[in-house]
Amino acid sequence: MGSEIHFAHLAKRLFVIPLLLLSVFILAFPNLALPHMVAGAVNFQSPAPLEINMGTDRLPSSIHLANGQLWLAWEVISLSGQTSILYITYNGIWSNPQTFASGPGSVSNISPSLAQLQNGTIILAWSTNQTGHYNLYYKLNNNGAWSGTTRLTSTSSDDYLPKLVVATDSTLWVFWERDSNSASCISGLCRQIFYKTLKANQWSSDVSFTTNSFWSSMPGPTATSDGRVWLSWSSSNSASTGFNIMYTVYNGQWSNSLALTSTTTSDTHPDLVADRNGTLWLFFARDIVLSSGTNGVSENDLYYSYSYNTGSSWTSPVQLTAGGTASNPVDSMDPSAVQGSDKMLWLFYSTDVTGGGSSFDLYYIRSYPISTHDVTISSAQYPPFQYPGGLASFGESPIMKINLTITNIGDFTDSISLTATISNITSYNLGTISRSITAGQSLTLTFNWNTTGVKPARYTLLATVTDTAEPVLNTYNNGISARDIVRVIPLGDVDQNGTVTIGDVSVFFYDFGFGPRGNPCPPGHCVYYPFEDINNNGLVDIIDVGIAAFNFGTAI
Amino acid sequence: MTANATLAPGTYTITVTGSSGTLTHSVTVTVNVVAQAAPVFSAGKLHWTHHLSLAKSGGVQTFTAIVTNPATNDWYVQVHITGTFDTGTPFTADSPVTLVAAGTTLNIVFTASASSAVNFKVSFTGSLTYGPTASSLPFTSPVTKSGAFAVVP
Repeated sequence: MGSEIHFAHLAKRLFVIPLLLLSVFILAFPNLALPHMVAGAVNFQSPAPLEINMGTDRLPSSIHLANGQLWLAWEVISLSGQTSILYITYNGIWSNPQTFASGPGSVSNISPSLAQLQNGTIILAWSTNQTGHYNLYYKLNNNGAWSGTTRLTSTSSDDYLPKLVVATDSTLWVFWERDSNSASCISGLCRQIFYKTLKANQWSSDVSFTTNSFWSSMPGPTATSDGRVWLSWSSSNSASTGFNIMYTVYNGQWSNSLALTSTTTSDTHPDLVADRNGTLWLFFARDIVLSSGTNGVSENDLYYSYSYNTGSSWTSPVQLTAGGTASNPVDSMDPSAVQGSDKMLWLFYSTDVTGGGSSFDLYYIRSYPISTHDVTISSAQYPPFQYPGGLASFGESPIMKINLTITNIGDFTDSISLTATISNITSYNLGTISRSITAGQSLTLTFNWNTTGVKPARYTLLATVTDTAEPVLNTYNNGISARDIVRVIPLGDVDQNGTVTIGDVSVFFYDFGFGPRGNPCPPGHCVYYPFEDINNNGLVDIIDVGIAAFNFGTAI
Repeated sequence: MTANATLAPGTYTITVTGSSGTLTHSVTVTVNVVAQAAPVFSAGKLHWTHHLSLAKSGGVQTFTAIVTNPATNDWYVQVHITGTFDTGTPFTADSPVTLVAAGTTLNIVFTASASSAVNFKVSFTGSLTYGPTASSLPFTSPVTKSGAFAVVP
């Protein structure tokens, strides 16, 4: 076999080193490093009603599917007290609500969460008390049909508020809040964040993410294109204080938890999302005091913070929804945000703003279109095989041409640099090509690899496109690693299968002396076969046979 | 002419037939049946404790609904509170069925426990069902009232 090394490490190094350099630059020059630093310029449109009915609509969960559709599921409690889970879809227009789960009788179906697996399957998890305690269940949707129900947790405690995210490695994460009773907890009530994962069709066991004596409630995770999983939640360290928002990041292991908000009231129901410009957004509900006194009035309003540097720093919270008055409070809560394919950030939430506070309905707020810088290597083309130094007898050049197509899927004309490397034990730097590329344009750039003296083997093509204006979270699609598939085959391998076998050598002996080139091929056998004319002298001679014999047994 | 209180609103044709011996005569009368005005929260008023102290109240929330009956007939009324805790679990409360005389306004007071929701909020919608008898409340008032309260230690 030809020489091989494991190229994954090299690929990682090539990817990580620029990130590290960029991180250092960001830290050194926080105001200069990111030309895309326009997150603060994102403006939001006015709230719009989505679902208005006489019941209480709460806890919306939204996803953006791979086909561009939006799905939204939420909980409804009717005026008669029956809980249901409804969902709608958006493909330019919203569908009518469909009932996902309802009843029967005293059974409650609450707090849905949606996600799409990387194979396209949609999963909806929710909490229901059909066994006496609230446990988590889920269904799968393939091609519009829902599967049967699968139980996800079995506990005599109560599991609430499941939140699903799918990481770039295809792992499905489920976070939720588990409430149980214990004298060791605040007011005898434990509230902890749990999670479990689905990886390669195997569910992990339940893992208690928070284990301290605080109340940890209302998880709000997201997964970013760099492979990381982010988790926010509401935390309270005593019964006499409200909640603040904490967050942590999983990148192989969990980082230390950090506080994102600090309020004297209460911040709840956090929701994290990354927009198409690589900006991380945190939406949450904040309790706002409208009047003090014995029966002071407060309301929930939606706030947001954002980070344009993938969590290195966050802005101060900004109020998003308008409030009411002490005599007519308006609550807005339960944010669920998603980046739409229309370039807008969609924020769904529950509010009783309709009719001066007549019931809780679903509203949404969209951002204006978010522009970004985003380039990708959309394709790579190279010959299926190459003889070292080329084989002139059939017109093969010693130069292998490698075509890489760059596509600008962002919104600006950008300057890009494309670097390519061919590697096995020996690494060949193919150089760097710099160009300007307009929004929406695809550009094919060609690298020339001189294979003269190159050892037959399977080589790995690594290529990286760099756009200095691109946000870090958009660089996930900037590289390709075509591992071991660029084939430099040994001379004498006339059938180009990568190995000079006895069959190849036999052909040389059989055809010895055939020629000259240009003679027509009679039925059954060619008198001149160009792959055998290694020295390109017009016939199969002793030199050709000798080379083939010398390479006998060489395999890549 | 009287009609059952549950008669659906609409246009009805009544045929009155008189006869004497072999003489018969009929007259048709068109009657529009309109719905009696529904009881409503008076000026949207539904009172509750916005910060429910477990220490002071034991987690028992008291709702006071001010209900007006603008109709010309009496209605039996029940106030319903349906909503959710922050976890999404349902929160419900029902008042006793109460007679609200025609043209009057009445305070209806009732309670519900929210002791399990310390440091959480409860978001709810208040609604009214009503009917002609205490055991028959087939109608729902079109006017609802939403609100929220926090449960504090």
